[in-house]
Amino acid sequence: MTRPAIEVELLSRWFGKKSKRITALHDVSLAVEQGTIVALLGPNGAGKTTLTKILATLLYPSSGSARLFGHDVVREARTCRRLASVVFGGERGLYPQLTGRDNLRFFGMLAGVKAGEAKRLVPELLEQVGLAEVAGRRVETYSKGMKQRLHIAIGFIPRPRILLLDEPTVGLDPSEAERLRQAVKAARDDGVTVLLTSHYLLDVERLADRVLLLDRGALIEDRPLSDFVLRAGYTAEVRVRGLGPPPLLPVELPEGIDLAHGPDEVNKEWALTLRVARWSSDVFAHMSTILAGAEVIDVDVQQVGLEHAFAQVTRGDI
Amino acid sequence: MMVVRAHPLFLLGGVLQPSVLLLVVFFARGQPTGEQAARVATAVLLMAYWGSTVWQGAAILRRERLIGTLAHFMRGVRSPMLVLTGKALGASIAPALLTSVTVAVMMVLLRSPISVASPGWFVVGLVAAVLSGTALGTLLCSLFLLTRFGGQLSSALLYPVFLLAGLLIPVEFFPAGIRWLGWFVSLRWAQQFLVSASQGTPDFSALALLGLLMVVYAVAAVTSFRRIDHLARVRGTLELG
Amino acid sequence: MSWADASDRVVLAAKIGLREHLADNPLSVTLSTTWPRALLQCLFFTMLGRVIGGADGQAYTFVGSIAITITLFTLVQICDVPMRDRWSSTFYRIRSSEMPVPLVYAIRSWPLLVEGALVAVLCILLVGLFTVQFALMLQLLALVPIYLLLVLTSGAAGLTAASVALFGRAGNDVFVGNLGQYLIIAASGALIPPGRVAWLDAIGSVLPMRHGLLAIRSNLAGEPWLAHLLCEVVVGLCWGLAAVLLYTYMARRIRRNDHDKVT
Ligand SMILES: Nc1ncnc2c1ncn2[C@@H]1O[C@H](COP(=O)(O)OP(=O)(O)OP(=O)(O)O)[C@@H](O)[C@H]1O
Ligand SMILES: [Mg+2]
Repeated sequence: MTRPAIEVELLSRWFGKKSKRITALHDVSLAVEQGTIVALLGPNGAGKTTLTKILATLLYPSSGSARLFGHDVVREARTCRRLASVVFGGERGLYPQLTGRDNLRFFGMLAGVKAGEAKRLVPELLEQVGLAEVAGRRVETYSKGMKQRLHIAIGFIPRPRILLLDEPTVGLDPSEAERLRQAVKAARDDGVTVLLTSHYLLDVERLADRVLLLDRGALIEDRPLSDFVLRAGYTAEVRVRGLGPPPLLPVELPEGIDLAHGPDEVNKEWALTLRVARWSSDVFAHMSTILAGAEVIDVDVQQVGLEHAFAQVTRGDI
Repeated sequence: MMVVRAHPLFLLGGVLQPSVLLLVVFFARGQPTGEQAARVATAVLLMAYWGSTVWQGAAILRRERLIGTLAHFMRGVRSPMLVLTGKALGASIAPALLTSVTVAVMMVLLRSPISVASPGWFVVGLVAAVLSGTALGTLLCSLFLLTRFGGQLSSALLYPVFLLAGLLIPVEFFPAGIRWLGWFVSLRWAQQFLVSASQGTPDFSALALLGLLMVVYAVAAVTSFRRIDHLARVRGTLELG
Repeated sequence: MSWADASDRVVLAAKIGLREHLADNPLSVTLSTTWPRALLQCLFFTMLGRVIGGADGQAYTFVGSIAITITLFTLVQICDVPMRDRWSSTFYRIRSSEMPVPLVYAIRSWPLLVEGALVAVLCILLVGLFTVQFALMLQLLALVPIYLLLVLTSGAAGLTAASVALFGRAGNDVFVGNLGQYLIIAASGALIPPGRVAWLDAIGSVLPMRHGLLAIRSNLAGEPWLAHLLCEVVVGLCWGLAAVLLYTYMARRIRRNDHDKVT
């Protein structure tokens, strides 16, 4: 029986003296199986980076424990450092005066990559993140996205079994962000466990197997992505526009359909938004009953995404 | 001023440097007296003051680079030149006061208190020295903004100035061929005026030269600063991003 | 970790050390500003000796001024090495690395140690020529190995000072290095002969340079000097140990309070 890749038990972390104590994490418990991608979501200041730092052995917990494959991040820091590598978003964290290649080699060496291995891995990774051509240039001349790609290469170079990614797609152009998503997926398929923090819900939607939601230091949601999306309470929004008098809605809408907005009238045009709990052929029948007699000019269907769920969950709790 | 007070460098230039120099001069040999003591005291005062100006310039900008505020500073609503002058003035006055106190206290401790025969003129000399230090400090700050090697550049100016101004080491110790360079160093005239004021015979030609050099420095500072904004944008190397 | 592996790492860290040093101090800047500044400082303190003590005074301060000049690299500039990690927020990678933190910095400082040694030799030659002390100049050239030891011992103290710069308030980096240099100027016996001010002697005895300079002076005077040299080695080792302890302690403390913001 293998241990979970990440196990966190009643983990708390606070900063500052007693009188002005800031609690960044409060009794967080979770377990992540090997080979899964888990998204860590939450509003600004929720404690995501704090959790990432503790798992990366950069910060001690105040109480509780965290283990990587059964190794305690406090007592067995060396082992944990070999198992996990971390990528923080942002423009800092690189030597601006050195070239991209030197940065990668040096940080790879610090992370324990052997010289022979580095010789092979460095060009390979630079190629992978699309920096091969600029690898000989000083990092201070890099764009935001190029720095970010270098960060990612640094995170990958020790061949970690756990990847801790804190906002890895910040500053990446759409195609580069997609490339990173592919790389993360490929790593997962090789058995790497990924803890991904991102404010880009697209990343999460494309990648995550599971979603954790932190809010003010507490873990308030922990469920598979598909379940999490259901937390919005509906699957799709249907926005209907028409001319002339708006349809007369029945007092009670058929089951599975809710009115979100409207009908609003502007300049002889009307608009209303309906929410569909679950698609079925009945839904269309109900719709035509509701809209009977009205002149419809446009129907727009939007599938529910993570944003709706995220908004729903955080709004409900704040 | 806040920047200055927050700086431990303040102690370095204002207390440590003058104390160490005085200790060296006093204990390496015997007690200087009379005009000699006044020469030593003013020399140490001006050296420490000059050292502070250079260090503060280095430290202010290094700090700004560290916390990444250089961009705000250059793009601020207020003229960066004004801000810089303010910083340089703040960085000048405080160390000048502290250094004066340190030197006075040390001279007492070393049992060689200085008596100043014309205190009024002595203060005028100090003020003039501070103003010319400010002008020079602004010029130095511009250097720091212009090149990333400003630190090395300005500290390279430290000892030539000490030597050429003939502060502790009389210019007669140098080959005649290079002595004239000292004419362009305001500290030389500052010391000459301060020593003469302490002896009760203020040397007004020294004061005039001090003032003249101050104007020259100020003009140089303004001109070089005008080029900076331009150059920074041309090169794009200044850490303004 | 195998020997080959360890040496690969050391070589890479040394290469990185050289590249970052050259990036901050290109040869043209070093030759046009840093070295002249060092030479002039040496000249200044040497001539100060002549002003206060005539030819004997000058010979005395010449020997010491060379040591003071070394500290420009080993105490003042060395602070830049760890400070680079603070400027670029990279210290978290250093403290979570496989290589011990003090070792990383010791290796990365090597260009400064070499520069200190080179400038010491240049000072002996050029300041010796300028102040017309040819005989002493030749004697000191023979004693260069002792100055090399001083480079190492003061470098160890410099790394300790640099840890304060790295972990303390912004601006400390300029402070601690220069503080160290002024302590050496005042208390190492470089300019003020030992035995004149008791409390300076007390401070000096735990500073680098002090005993090494005594060794040089005893050697010049034809007296036994090995004991002094040994003292210098011991003092240097103590500073090295202090550096190891401080960096280790600080890295641990940061993990507790999160003082190095990584993002
Ligand atoms: N070193 C520190 N000292 C004091 N408070 C801190 C420190 N580090 C983090 N905090 C506080 O802990 C809380 C959590 O911070 P954290 O950086 O983990 O949030 P986050 O979820 O990563 O936010 P963001 O989405 O903005 O990155 C915040 O209230 C923050 O102010
Ligand atoms: Mg964060």
